[in-house]
Amino acid sequence: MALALGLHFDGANNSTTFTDVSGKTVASRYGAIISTMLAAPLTGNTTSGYFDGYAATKHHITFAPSADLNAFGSADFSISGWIYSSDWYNYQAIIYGGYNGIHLLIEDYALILRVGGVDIVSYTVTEQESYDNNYFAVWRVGGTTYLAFNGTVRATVTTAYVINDPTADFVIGREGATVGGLAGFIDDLLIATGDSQFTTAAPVPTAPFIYVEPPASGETIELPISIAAYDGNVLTLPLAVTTVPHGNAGVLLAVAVVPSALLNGASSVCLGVGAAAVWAPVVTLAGVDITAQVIGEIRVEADEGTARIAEFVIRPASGTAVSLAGWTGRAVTIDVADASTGAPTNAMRLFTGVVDTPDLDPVTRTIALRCTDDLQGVCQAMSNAALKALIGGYESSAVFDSAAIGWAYAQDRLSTVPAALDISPWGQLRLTPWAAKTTPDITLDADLIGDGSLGVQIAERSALTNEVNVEFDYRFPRIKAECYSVNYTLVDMTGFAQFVLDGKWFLQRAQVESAIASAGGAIESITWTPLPTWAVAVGDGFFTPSAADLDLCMGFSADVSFDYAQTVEEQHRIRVHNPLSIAAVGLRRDTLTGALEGDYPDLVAVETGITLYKKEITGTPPKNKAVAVSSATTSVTATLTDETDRAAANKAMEALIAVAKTRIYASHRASRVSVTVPLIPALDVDKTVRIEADGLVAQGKVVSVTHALSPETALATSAVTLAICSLAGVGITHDQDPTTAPEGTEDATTPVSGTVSVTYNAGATEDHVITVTFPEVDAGERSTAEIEIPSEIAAPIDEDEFTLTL
Amino acid sequence: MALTFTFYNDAGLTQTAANVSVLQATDGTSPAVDRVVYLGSTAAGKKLQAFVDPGVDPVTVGLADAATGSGVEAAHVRLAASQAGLDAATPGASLNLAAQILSGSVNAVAVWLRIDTPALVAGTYTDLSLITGECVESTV
Repeated sequence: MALALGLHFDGANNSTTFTDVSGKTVASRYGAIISTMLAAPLTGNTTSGYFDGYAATKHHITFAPSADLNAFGSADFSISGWIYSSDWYNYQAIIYGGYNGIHLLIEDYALILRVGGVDIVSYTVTEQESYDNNYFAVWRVGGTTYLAFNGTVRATVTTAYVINDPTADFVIGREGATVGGLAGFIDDLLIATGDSQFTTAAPVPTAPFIYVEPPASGETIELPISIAAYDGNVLTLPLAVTTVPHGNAGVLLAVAVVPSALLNGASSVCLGVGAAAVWAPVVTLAGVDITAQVIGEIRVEADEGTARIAEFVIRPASGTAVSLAGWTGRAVTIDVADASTGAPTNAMRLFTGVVDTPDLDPVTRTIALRCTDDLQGVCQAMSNAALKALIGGYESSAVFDSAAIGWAYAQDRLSTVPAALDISPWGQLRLTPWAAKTTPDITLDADLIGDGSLGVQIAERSALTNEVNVEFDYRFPRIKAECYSVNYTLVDMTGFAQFVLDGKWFLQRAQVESAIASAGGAIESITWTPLPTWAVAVGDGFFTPSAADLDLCMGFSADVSFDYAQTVEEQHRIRVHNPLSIAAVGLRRDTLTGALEGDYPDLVAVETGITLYKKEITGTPPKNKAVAVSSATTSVTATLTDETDRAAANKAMEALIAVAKTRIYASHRASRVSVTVPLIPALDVDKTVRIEADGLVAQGKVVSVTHALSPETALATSAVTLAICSLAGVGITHDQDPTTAPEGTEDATTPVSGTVSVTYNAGATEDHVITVTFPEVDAGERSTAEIEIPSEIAAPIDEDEFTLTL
Repeated sequence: MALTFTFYNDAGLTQTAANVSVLQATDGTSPAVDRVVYLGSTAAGKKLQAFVDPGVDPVTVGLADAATGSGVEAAHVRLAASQAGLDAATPGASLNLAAQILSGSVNAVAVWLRIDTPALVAGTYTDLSLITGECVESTV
């Protein structure tokens, strides 16, 4: 509830001092008083407000106009209190907040809320009620207005109305100088706006309202409750209310608007904008302007990808006590501003950072401050996720240290991205692509460039790299199943009778299975050639089937598998290169190597596990098992850990390819063009600058800038160096391939080689032993397979404009 | 007691953002400037939620203009959760974040701003603020 007004009407009898608990100033006019003549039946209450409406001046109290009383619009509100009137027939104003404000009145035996001349809600009192001290409540919640009288809701309406009379005094006890004087008493009047004290009911209170100033965000207030017993003892119950911290978090946007000429280099701070300039540095330390203490030169150095450094010397006023140890880490800002009007204008930030080392010179009583933007510290404090979001690029635990965090992690990612990470003059971390913009941010011509400052440094051929051979070996196991089809016929029906007459022995099925197992094979499937189930004439007699024949056979057909594993080593040989560069300057080769080994159990144990499972010696299924296919060798790549599987290998190769591309690009932008110009604060390492002077035209990204301000000599300069990547000239498109890992080997199916031999000694006097002999596993299927996989990827570079006319 | 959650220059929450400073040209020709700040708290075990229906309604960030109709207007600023999102962001519109933001640098939430002003008289305009909606902060 938002309290707008709260009057207990307490005080000395006949006092004209009224107190509003919400803090509003109350003015008693023409004799409105606190009176003991009548009081609402509330515990401990002995007084009320008395208003003599019969007096010519109409006693009343007033409040200055306020938004929460006079102009709260369509918001919820509530008004409650006690009213006794000696005249319920004639018009009497209880509250009058203006024609379009709250107007609560008595007229023709009714209590009425009137707004803008319209009766919103009313209640006609009974004759008895017209003699009593009555509790009333009027409130609006969610568009519905209620009127309760002595605890009972008497009327509800949904009429829409707006409370808006912002300039009218808020008056209690009359309407105007001679109109609507209340003849009676008001007690415990409470007005809330913006919210309501009630929702759907307003019971009659038995004690005066209690108003407690809400505790501030996160603060606690004590609200002890005392209970008085009949014997006079008082029990006090402690009660504390604490609010949770609440509010808003915010930060100011400071938009410095300066002439465009200062931003695009058309003018400099030193030269002014259309006029001779008077410039001034503005240096702050821990938020305090210390410009007046600065002596000598102020230097701000920004190099691509490194921390921005500022150096200056101050001489504190004589007698100033300083605690140098506490200066380390203090915030420092350096601006340069146009001081031609006497006050700094068009201030442009050169540096935001902290003091790195304060160095005291006791002889000269000066302190040299070396400041940094703390690029490494800022990165070190960031989560890897935040750095990844900012930098992008590639990562691989097989290529980079998986435990790297902060700065080291950032450097790993930056090695895969043709971009520079640094902090802006305003202290914001940013990533700037190496590629120069098509349209330069700033153009520097001969008029700006200082005599003799133009310098050109062409990258040495020996520093160029135009081909990087990425050698990446990936070792992993491949599980195989070699499946032989074994077909053996001991005897068929044609020779059956003679076989029996010769006294030969039929094959026992268990003997066959045992023989295959002895050979190391696992039976995938087997079908038997059974003995005849009918009587067969044999010589003079008959072969008569018996139940024991089910354990015998005349032959069989079986698929028998052998499981083993093969180590595969893919030797990826990825040639990342820039063809145009190789053609222009010859081959300049570099090499990157990497390796990853699939994390898998010992292969002998794996083979044993599969065999034991197939022979039903163990119930534990193997992690991987190739599906046996008759007369073929099948294979399946083992299931590896996330860090060593195929996806991890591809990530590793992509990271290496990205590093190779970045390395090639970096070596090609090693040429430099540098100039010194009058200080242009907008010159920064995120800018693309075009230089046109002395027959030279160069356009590239700034790699370093040093601002030097010397108030004593009035010299302010910016020394800027551009990185130039010029090989084939602007307009030449370099081939480029996506950074994608080459395809690896796939699980294959090959036919088995060799034949299976089966011998069985069936003669009556022989040993009746069956022997099954399988061919040896082909060495190519089982020995470590080293497979070289060559591929080529074109690495692009972005050409910068760089021409020289002598 | 003020909220411990505030805006920082860095995701590591080491540098409180005193302000978000940008440079623009008087003739409105300078390109839009992107900035990022991070909403977070270095206090241990805290969470930030919307004041209304905490944990359900999203924490919002918007732009408060102390001088509507003059200087830099909210419509000159776009807000997004990522730099890529700035292109599609509606100028001046507030941004919904998560229903709950935990303290600690790993939980810092990035808020990207793109400021692009029209022609303005030279000077430094500070009438605009980036501000969260009414929030409550409590112990996790």
